[in-house]
Amino acid sequence: MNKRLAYKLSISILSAVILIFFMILLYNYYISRKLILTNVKENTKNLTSSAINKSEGFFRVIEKITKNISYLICDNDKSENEIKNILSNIVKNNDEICGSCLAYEPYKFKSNIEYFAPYFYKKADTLLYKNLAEDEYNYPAWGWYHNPIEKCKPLWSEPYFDKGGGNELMTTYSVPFYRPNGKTDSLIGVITADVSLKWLQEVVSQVKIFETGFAFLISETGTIITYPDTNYVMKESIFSLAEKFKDPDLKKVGEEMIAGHEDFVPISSALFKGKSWVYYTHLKNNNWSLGFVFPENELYADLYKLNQTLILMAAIGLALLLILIIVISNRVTRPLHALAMIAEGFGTGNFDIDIPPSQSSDEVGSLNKSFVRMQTALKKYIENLKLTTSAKEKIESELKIAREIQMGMIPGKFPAFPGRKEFDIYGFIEPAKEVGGDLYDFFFIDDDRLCFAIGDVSGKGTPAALFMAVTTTIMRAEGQIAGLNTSSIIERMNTYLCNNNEGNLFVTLFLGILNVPTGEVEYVNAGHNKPFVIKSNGVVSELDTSHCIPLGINLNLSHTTNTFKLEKGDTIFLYTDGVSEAFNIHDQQYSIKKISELLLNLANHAPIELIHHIVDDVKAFSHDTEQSDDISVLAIQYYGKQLLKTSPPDYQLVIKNSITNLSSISENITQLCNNWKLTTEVCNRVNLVVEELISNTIFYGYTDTLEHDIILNLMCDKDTISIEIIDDAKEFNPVEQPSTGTNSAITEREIGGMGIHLVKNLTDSFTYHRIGNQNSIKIEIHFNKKQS
Amino acid sequence: MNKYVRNGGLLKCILSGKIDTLNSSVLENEINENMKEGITSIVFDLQEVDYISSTFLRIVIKIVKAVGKENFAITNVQPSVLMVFKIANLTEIVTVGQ
Repeated sequence: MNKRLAYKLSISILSAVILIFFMILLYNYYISRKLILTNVKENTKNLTSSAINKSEGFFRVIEKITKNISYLICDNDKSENEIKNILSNIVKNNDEICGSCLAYEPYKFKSNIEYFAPYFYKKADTLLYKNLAEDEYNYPAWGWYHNPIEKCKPLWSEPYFDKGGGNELMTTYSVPFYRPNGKTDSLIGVITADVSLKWLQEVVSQVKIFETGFAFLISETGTIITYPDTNYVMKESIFSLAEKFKDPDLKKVGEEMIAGHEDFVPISSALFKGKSWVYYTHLKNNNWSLGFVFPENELYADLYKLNQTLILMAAIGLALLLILIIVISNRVTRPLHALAMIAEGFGTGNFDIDIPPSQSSDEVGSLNKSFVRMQTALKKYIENLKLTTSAKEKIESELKIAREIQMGMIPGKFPAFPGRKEFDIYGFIEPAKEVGGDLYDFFFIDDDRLCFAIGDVSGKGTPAALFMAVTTTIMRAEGQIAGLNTSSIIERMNTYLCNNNEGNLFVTLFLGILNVPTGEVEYVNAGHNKPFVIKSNGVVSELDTSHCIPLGINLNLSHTTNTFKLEKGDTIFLYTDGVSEAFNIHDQQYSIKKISELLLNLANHAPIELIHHIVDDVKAFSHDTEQSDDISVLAIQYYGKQLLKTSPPDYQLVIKNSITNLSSISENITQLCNNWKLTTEVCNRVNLVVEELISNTIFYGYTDTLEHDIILNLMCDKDTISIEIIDDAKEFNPVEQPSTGTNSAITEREIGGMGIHLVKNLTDSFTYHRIGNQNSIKIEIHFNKKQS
Repeated sequence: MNKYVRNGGLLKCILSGKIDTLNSSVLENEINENMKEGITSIVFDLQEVDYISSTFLRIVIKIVKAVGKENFAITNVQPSVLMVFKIANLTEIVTVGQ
């Protein structure tokens, strides 16, 4: 963390500084370049003027001398000797002039001489004379002679090498001269001066600009006259070089130069040794052009040097800045780091770490103080939490035991009365919390009378549970006193509950007594939900109850005892408001209407199925919501028929799922039938039905290869044999199997399915129930008892 | 013990006792063995049989399918056994008495 903050700070500050510095440097660079260029432009003329002046002066002197001679000669007729004298003097007395010739037009010197051209020239410091008219030279054909005549003005020739002389670079100045002849001047001839360019070459080559900058001279046609590399001199022109280097920029500059323009331009060319600026101007005398090359890197050398220094200084500055940032951020983050370590310690439960006090009054200081406060608060909080947690755990474990005790008070073992076939009873309770205020109970007062009740204590949780325990205990105590009816049980319970009710709780209670032989029920409803009665024909109705306040409120309990009769197959269904008032996530109630609708389809279902149908539906309805109230349900189905007191005891046989066990079943059934004094025909029917069903189960019912129990219950009364087969095979309802095609011709018959068809046709009642993971098949076979 | 009497192409099976799930596979094997050589028709005599289960009905249907309805008959059926044939609607191949 320490390093990271320093790193982040350094990166962001340094990036910003580098960016700003770079921008400044860039701006400075461009402005400086511009200034330097402007300065150079202004100073170019100063730098180059001396060379230009010297060059121009050189030509001017020659021009003056030559022109003066022309005036001298054209004034009057001169003798041959006089002319030779003048010419020899010119050549002798002027160092720059290597030779001079006075070439006449035909017959203009003397009317009897056609060509005359005396020529004096120096050779190895000796003055020599030659008349150019005397040999084959034919001077009028030469450019130095006829060009000035054609243009009627003095002209400088292109430079050339003097082959006869010292192999020097030469140029010739030719001046035509005239003599006044009436109104017009008539041409007499041309006077020339041969000039060595050696001196001019020296002047130009001596020009030095910065380190490697130089000057160069080109003629009117672009021929290079001076250049540092003498190989180019007179052999190349600026245009031939442009061609050679494939350099269009150079060509452009050359065109500008011979056009006599003056400019200062940037150019990158091999001729100028890389990037450079070139200043060019033409010489006034002969349209030759003088160029000055400024190498760019030398032009900006100072600027580059300055920039280098600046960058170096910046680098040092940035390094210093980096060190400074790291030092400062370390100083800032060190206490933060220490606090982070302490916080980590807090995380592992160590609250006894000493927090070093901070003297600073900045944010870190206040954070430090907050940490000290947090430490104290956390210590205290954890201490409290430990206490409450242990207390809570204790309460929870006590509640768990309490729940077990409470559940133990409610009958939870089913079938509750295995010996009583006249009715079936099933109950279910689920408190919303560990313990609850709901209750149901049932017990025999005597051999024939079953007392049953369902109740709901006001409130929830432990107080309700304690009150429920009292209620249940009192009910059992009072109910067990033989001879009591519902009315006196309720009254006695109310009296006790009113007298021992410091918590001002009350309990709604439906209490009934079923007369098992007759099916008659007498009941009192003390403020409880009205139970439903489901007739065997499917009619569902709420039981009429007269109004009565719940128990535990008023000693003076005004109540009425009602009665009704349960017929064979009828069911009474009792519930608490935890069922009808279960809420779903949309805050809707389950409602009594929904219960009655569901019950419509549950006629003739065993109590256990009926109750689980209802409970599952309620749970699905209130899925994803916390159970708000205790749920209790109780159902009694009345079968009515009493077994004959004289009938042999019920017979139960448990076999394993192996087909070989069928023979023992057959033997047992035959023995039993004999005991029951049944005919062979009935006995065979029983045997056949049992064999078909059990073999079916053994052959097709099990998906594993494990051992399973199959329970066979047999009962017999005066005209009916009841058979019950219970197995834990996969769910299979034989009752709903379609009949095999017994109407089709024998040759078209299916091989299978015959067994169940036989069972259906050999029995008087054939029902199937899936209870939990068990298949339960109930069969009745009626018979006429064999005359013994 | 079951007896098998052969008379030309006719096989007479005189069965006895209970025919249930357990022993019907034994019976089926016996009949198959005796049907091997040139048997064209079969008669079951159930004089001594007082109990049959659906497995016996299956054997009967299989044989009828094999030899044809006209080549098969059951005789001497006891009332308790006849009831089973009645329920299965198979009385067309059953003759009561001789």
